[in-house]
Amino acid sequence: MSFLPTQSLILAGFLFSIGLATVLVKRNLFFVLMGVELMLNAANLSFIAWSRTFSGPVGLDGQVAPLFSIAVAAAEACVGLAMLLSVFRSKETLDTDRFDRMKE
Amino acid sequence: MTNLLWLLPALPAFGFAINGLLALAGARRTEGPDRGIVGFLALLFPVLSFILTLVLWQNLSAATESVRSQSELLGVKLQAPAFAQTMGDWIRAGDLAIDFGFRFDKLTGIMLLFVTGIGSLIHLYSIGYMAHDRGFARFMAYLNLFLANMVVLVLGDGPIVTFLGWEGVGLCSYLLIGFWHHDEANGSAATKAFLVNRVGDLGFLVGIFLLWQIMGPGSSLTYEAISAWFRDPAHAAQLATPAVAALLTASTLLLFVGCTGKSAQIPLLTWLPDAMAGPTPVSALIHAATMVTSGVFLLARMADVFAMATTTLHVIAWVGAATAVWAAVTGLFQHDIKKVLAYSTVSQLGFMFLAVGVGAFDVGIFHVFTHAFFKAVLFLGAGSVIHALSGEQDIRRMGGLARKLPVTFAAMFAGWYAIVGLPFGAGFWSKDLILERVYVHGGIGLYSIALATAALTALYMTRMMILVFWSPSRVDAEVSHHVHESPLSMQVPLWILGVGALCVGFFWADMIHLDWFARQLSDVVGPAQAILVSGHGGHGPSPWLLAGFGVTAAVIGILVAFGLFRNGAFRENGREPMGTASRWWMLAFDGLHTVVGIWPVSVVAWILDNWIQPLLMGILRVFGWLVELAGSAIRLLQRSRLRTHMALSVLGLALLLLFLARELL
Amino acid sequence: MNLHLVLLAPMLASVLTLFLSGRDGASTLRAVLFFAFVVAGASFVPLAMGESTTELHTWLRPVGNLTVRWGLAADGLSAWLVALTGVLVPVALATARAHVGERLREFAAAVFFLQAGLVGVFLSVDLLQFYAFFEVILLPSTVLIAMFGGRERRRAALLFLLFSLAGSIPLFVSIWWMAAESVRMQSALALDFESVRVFLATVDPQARFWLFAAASVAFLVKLPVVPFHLWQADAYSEGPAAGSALLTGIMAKVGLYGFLRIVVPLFPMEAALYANFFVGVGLVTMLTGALIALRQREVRRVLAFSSLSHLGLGLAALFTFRPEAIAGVVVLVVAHGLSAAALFFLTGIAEGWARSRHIDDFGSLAKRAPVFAVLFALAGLASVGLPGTAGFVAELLMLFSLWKVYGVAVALVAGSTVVLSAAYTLRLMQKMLFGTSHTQAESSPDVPALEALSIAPLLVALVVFGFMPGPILKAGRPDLLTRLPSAQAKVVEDATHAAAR
Repeated sequence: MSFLPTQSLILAGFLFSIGLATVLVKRNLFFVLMGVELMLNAANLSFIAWSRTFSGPVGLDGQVAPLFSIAVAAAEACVGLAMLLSVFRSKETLDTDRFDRMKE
Repeated sequence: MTNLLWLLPALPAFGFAINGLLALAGARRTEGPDRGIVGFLALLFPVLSFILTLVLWQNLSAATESVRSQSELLGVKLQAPAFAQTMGDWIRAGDLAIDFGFRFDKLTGIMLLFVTGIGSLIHLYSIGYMAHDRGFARFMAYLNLFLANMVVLVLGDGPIVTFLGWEGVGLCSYLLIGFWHHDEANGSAATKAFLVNRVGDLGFLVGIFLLWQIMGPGSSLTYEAISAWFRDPAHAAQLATPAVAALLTASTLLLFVGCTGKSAQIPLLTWLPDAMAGPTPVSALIHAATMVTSGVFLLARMADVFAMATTTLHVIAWVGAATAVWAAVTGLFQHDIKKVLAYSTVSQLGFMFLAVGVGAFDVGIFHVFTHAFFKAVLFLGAGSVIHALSGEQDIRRMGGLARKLPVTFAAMFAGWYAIVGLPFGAGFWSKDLILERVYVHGGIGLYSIALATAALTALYMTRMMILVFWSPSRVDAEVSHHVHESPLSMQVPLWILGVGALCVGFFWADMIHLDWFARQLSDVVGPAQAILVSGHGGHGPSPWLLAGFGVTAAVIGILVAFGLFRNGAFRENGREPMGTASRWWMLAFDGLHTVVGIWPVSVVAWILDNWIQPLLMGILRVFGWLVELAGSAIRLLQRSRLRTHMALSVLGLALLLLFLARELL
Repeated sequence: MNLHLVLLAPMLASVLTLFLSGRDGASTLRAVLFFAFVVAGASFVPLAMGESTTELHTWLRPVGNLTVRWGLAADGLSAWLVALTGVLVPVALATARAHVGERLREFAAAVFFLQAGLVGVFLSVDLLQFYAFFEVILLPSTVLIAMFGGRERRRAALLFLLFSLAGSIPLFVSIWWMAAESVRMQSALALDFESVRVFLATVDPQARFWLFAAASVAFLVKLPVVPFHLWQADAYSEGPAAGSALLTGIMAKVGLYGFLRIVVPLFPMEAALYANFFVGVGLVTMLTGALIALRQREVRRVLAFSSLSHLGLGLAALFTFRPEAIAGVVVLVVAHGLSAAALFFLTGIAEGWARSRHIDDFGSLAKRAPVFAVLFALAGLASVGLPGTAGFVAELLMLFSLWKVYGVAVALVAGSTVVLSAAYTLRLMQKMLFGTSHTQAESSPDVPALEALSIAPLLVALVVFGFMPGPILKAGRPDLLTRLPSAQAKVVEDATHAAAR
């Protein structure tokens, strides 16, 4: 079955939108992080799609970038989850709407 | 020999360093450093300096003699010799080239002889006088520092080096007036002395600038160069042009302002009476014998300049006369023995300036010289009296001390004899020379003022002597038990200076043709005086007649004093003899300073501090408010919800993308 | 290369200081002082080397034909300022130890950081490089005020920061403008001082005026002058005394340095055109500072306004462009740096005893702490310009040049500082050293040996330079305003950048 770049780009767009919506709508910090991951993966997908479009050395770039981004995302998830844990310890909640100390 | 000049100030400076460190090291202990060692060191270095001065003077005299005989042999006028030593360049920038150098000529020599000589005696006296003071070492260190600075002042080979000593002695004066600094009144007197002097010093500096401009850029600022320039006939035409003449008048007037500050002349004279807050040896050394006469010295040093500025000389003569008479009158109202002597000093300084103002520079210096002896002995005697009476300074509570303090009395009698100008005392010769020169070159107006002042001098000095020594005793019974003659270290200077007060006049007893002093100075101030005298020409009446007038004036003053104060009685006991009028008279110049100097400064400072500063601060506040206002407007958007913020930023991003897309497509 | 060491030394010291354990006070102090002395030794390198430069390398090429260069250059002026910085830092650390206590490590790190920034400022050859260091010094100095200051320290630090930023941003904007102009004119522009000068000569006079104004404001705020002085008294009195000593001793000199090195050499025509304005501003500042100082009730505020007054005179003298004035200003920079800093250091020590900053809470220190009194009096007299101290040389030369250009009246107005500075300094001495004691503390210790021994050399130097100002006068050579040290430097075109072009 053929795999068209356009279709995968549309898919990436959907994924991105879902991720963005999650980030914007969810109040739980955990879900916000998940939304961020979704958006990252959407971007990765679009990279892959573009690498299919262009052949040759330029196309390789499109495959290297997701590898990087997956590694970074893994690190980010590590740090992010750790921070999330420590936030939860100190605040006993993960509700973003209650993080308003900066308002002072 | 000449390369030893630097030792003259360095010796006392070294003494200062040692004693200063000793004083500092012992300052926090209950007992200071050993008084014997400190006293010995403090005395040693001035004496060494004095001996060195004597040696130098001997050599210089020999050199002068040989040059004089040479010039007679050759028939040409040769430059009078002087020892000079340049230590190196000091301030060199642009057109200014000031070297650090010393110059020892006859004028310097005479000044140094009595500065270090009398200075040494007063150091000796201080060892006795301050023996029981906790700050003995500090005091001796300050005295040494003063001497070093005074030597620099006199020895400097140019006005800027002199200025170094000039401000240095001012500093020492400040430190010593405020020596007993736990009393804030002393501190105020010291601060006042320093500030008033600084006003004068500003005049001094700017005066030098103007002088430098007259001589043209690139000329070196040494007395030698200045004298040579002004003596040079080639420059006479240039000096005659109105612009340069005006510049010269301004320059000399500004220099004279500097002298009025240091030498306590109208209008900068109020600090000297207040300066009596310092210990008595200080008053004797700094505020009578040496520092306050440096104004006269400076004028003599620059005689060649001032000889060209006749307007300034007139001003100097009149200021001197006015100061002399004002201070003499003020001296009459004083109850504090040191204040009497302080006003007397101001008055005598007026005499010196009067002499200089009529072009008699050598006579002015001669009076400086004799005055140093008789005023030093008077102050030291007064110190001895105060010492004997356990600190009492009010002459209303003295009297009958002639028997109890014979040595002190004898010494002060000698000083009194000299200052009132009775025949053949030191003051007789110098004052009559002044009166004579004033009569011949100054006119009858100045002469009558000077004569009246001479009578007033006799009046207030005799009043003081009567109240202290001759009238019935009014000493508190408690105090009179302890009255004692001073220790030997205080008596020796009294003896020496007392004899000096009677005898040093014979160095220049004009009427009996002893003119050693005049001959010494003729090389330095001779040409300047020749210029001034040539304008006047003729001679007055016989000097004996003028001397007769002078003595008559003194005798009248003495008789009036005996008539008024014979019994030491005060009709208005405890009050000013002449009521409030005397207060107004006394405080006239303090009032002037307040109105002209202190009030304007205070008012402007108040306005700046209370209006301008807050106004600027207020403008700043307005800016701050504007920023805050904008901030609170934008704050409305900050809902402090993470989701809202993100939505807003996504919206912003989208808008940006749209904008870019529109641009690109 | 040597010059880079001079810059690196304080940076390294700053970093190393942060790695100290900080738990043991005595060993921290020893280590910090050791660093400070090593850095101070390095600070004398430029003075020893005489005029020297490193090669100028291309540092950045942000846009178009704009080249930002990196290099260091020192002439006499820079060398003296670097040496002054090196001398004052150990004293600051020694005198602050009682005040900052356990936080000496942080204090020292900030001070070394400040020193590195200042050395960078004095050695920079490139406008952007200069600007970078110029801004870098704000950071540690704000930290010093905000962390180690008195009760109102935050407000003072904020005021200081805002004023400094507001003053320096126009300078940054004018660098942008020059870059844009070079793009517009399609000409290459390097930002080292010499190239900027050449470039500015081709710029439209109207635009150049605004560049001149922007550059001037940056340094007028730093100096400061009326009416930009509002931050000064607060910063100097609320900050730690040792920090204030560095602020007035060196940082304020950055203002004068900026005029000597940037404003006048880069804008010679404008500087000459508006000289009268600057002389006026300088004299007004001098008088305002002196008069307000007479009325202040806190010791350090008196000193702050005294600083304002002295540097105002310096600015006025500088704009006469007389050779005497240039020499005088350089002497002023050194003399005032030493004497004002010494006064602040000593005040900091005395404030520790009295637990007060108020002038009436001292008194009779001459009796209780004689060493302190001697040091304070000497520093005070040096700042008054007593002959025999370096202050006199500066004052004489500055008054001379003002008189030479503007005549007797201006000389007398400027000379009033002779009287006024004596008035407020003697008032300070009178109230602090003399009279009767007003402190609650029964017995106060005298200056500890370390502090006394570190401050005394400053005063000895003042006296030595009072009699032998030759070396400093030589640094203030007449062509200081026209000959930039960077002009002597060899420009190395970087190969890769050349290829990119």
